[in-house]
Amino acid sequence: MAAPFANGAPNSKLVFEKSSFDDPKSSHERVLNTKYFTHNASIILPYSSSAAQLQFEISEIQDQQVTYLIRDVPVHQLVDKEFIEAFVKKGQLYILSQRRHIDTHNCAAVFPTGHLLLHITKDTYEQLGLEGKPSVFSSLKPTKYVVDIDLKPDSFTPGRKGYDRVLWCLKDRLGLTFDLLISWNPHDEKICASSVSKFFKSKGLVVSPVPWCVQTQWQNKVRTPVLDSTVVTATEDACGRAEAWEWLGAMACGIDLSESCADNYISTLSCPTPSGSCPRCCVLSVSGFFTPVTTKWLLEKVRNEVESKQEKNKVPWGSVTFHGFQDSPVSVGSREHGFFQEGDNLHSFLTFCNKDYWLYSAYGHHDLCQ
Amino acid sequence: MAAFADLHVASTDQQVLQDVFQTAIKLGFDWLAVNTFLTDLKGKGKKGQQQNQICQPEPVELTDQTRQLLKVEGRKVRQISRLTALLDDTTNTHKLVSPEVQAFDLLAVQPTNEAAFKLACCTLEVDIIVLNMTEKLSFYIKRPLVNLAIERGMHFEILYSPAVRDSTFRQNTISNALQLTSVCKGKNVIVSSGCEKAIELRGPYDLSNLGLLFGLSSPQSKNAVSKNCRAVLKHAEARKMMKSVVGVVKSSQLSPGDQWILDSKRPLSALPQTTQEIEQPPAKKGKT
Amino acid sequence: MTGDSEKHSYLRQVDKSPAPYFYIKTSLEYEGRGLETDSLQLKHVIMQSMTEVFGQVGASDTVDVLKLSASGEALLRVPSRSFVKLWGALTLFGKYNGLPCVFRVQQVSSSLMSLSCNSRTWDIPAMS
Repeated sequence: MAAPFANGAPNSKLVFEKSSFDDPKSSHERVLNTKYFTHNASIILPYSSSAAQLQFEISEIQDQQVTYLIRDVPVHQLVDKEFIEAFVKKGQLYILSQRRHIDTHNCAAVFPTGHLLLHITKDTYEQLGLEGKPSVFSSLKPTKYVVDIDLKPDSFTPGRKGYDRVLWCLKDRLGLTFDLLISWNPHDEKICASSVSKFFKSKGLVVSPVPWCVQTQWQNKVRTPVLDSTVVTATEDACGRAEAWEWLGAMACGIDLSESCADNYISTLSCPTPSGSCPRCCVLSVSGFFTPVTTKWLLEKVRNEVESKQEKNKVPWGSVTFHGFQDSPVSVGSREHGFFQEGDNLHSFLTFCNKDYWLYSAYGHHDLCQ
Repeated sequence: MAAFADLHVASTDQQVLQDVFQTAIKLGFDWLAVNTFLTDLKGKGKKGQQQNQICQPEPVELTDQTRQLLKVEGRKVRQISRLTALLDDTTNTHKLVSPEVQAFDLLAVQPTNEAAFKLACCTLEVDIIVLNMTEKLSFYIKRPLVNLAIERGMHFEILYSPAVRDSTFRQNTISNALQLTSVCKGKNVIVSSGCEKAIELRGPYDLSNLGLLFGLSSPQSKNAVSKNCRAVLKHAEARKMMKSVVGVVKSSQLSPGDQWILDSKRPLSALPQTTQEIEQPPAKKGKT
Repeated sequence: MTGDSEKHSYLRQVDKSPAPYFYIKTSLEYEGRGLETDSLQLKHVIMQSMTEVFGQVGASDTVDVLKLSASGEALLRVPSRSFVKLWGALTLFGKYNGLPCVFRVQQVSSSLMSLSCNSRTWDIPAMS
């Protein structure tokens, strides 16, 4: 009686990994390299005072990592031969459709591996005429299909049967268009990353740069949990990973924990014990469209902040969280991702001054996490 | 997945409808059906033509604000007209095949007694069977009848807005919905609002959770506002074609978007008439 | 400080069983115009909605109002076993003190961290 909807709550997954940046087998690089699309990074640095510096540096890298939003791109533009030769085959190209909900609309993405992925509804699929697979999250009668087109092979060229068929299917007939977020890292330093925007402008499309949105919040007199990188389950001397995870979330959401205690009527959430007092805690949030280059850079910055040996501004630990797009067709690598009631796919690094780190990866109900 | 749909907006006032549409679009619905309720199938006949005139509802004019919203998000909204007829007795159902009734996109009946329910499940050519769930049902929902209706591709509708309005309605709605879903095992159920005001609308994800309280499983309850609604629309399309799998359209009447069919090199399309399949195997018509 | 051998120890733990808590981001809207709500009143409204639909036993699990921002957006925390019930109760709640109102749920998640941003409501300045 008590639990008639036992299976009702979405089946989300949380993967916790503990490792060290010094470990040659550490997976942090791999994770970040294959997490192609990141929407937001939130950085939490207790005891830190130099966040202004960080903010300045962020605005500097922003100028190098320009991303563009292109409105109403006909999807056949992405299989344009000129485009493939200039951008897909050289450098690293990241494209994601924007403002389309992956559970109800058509979505598109291009990865640096040169794959064009179309997540399309049954109605579109039946008219499109390209071969695809039913989405792994669909039931016996699928309503969503995944079409995967490899743009890189040399045989994918005008005049060849396969190419002509793809072009014919995508062009003219269905009028599939997307608003696309594009970022391109050139293979050659002499080439400017903005050439991708010039290409689309020359096709008569509206291209606008996507600005980053940086927000810094200072919280004064915060209680912070005492953490030890080797203690994963809570003990008397240190908080465990679960407690730390909730605390980090509370900080990122700007929740004031100073007044709450276990018998409070409104909220019983409080800082886990044991805890220390911290005069100032910096919560910095950057939103935009980030590629692995930026996320790796941000992780590096947070590590520097934490691992710097200066006694004066000692930061025992710090955290950076990378939120993926809820409507991204993949979470990590080519692992399919969907949206059920939530589309979480986020990676959170909690770095310690001894170069250890904790990595939390949270995925929603529709994700193939093992 | 298919787009989210609310196949029952009960209001008929233009002003209110604009409001409802704006809220619904904001919440993420792409398909919206405005309902016309017919309390009596009799009417028209002996006593004169004017009585019980059924007319198509005016399409809802979207406000500029709504249009702006759609433009920014690059979405398209489909308006659907729907007629729900109260089915008191088993006579007069011939009216359902009359042209003015058939002009509606969707047809639904609301049987009030067992005989009418049986008729609706077994013979009537309609898309949706809706029961008044705000009161105790006067009859048992029988499994063979429901199975037959499911086999014929009809869907059962649960309206949630009465449950928002009143606590007695809420109790009855939940208990009737549980009765229905246990009989049909959660198959072919759609959840619609039946709302009269925008404030009674709930978001699609809210409904995918609410379905659990109605006895659906979580995939089923998300389907109840998306996939099953698509099936209802397909059923309506097929119903209009009568019992056929292939519809024939004159090549001169082909919509501009479908002109490519004529250009394809397939010998079939060289004929003056071209085939359009509904609901059947993917992509055949696209093959060159 | 930890020894070198422990330093490189790798550990992986996967939580597949339901998370202990679920978090809901929602706002309470009244018909026509917004009404001032404070967290005490909000908590009261939520408990009332739970009791209305599920009775005293159903409403016995604690719902925490973690935050109420100036814009009226509230963050709620609820034990997983009551998540479906709470969301259902919020959905079915339609009237407070005779005033029609509605809980608009913006986002749900099993980790609080997820609610700190929402890519679905991302408003790119360049777009508008």
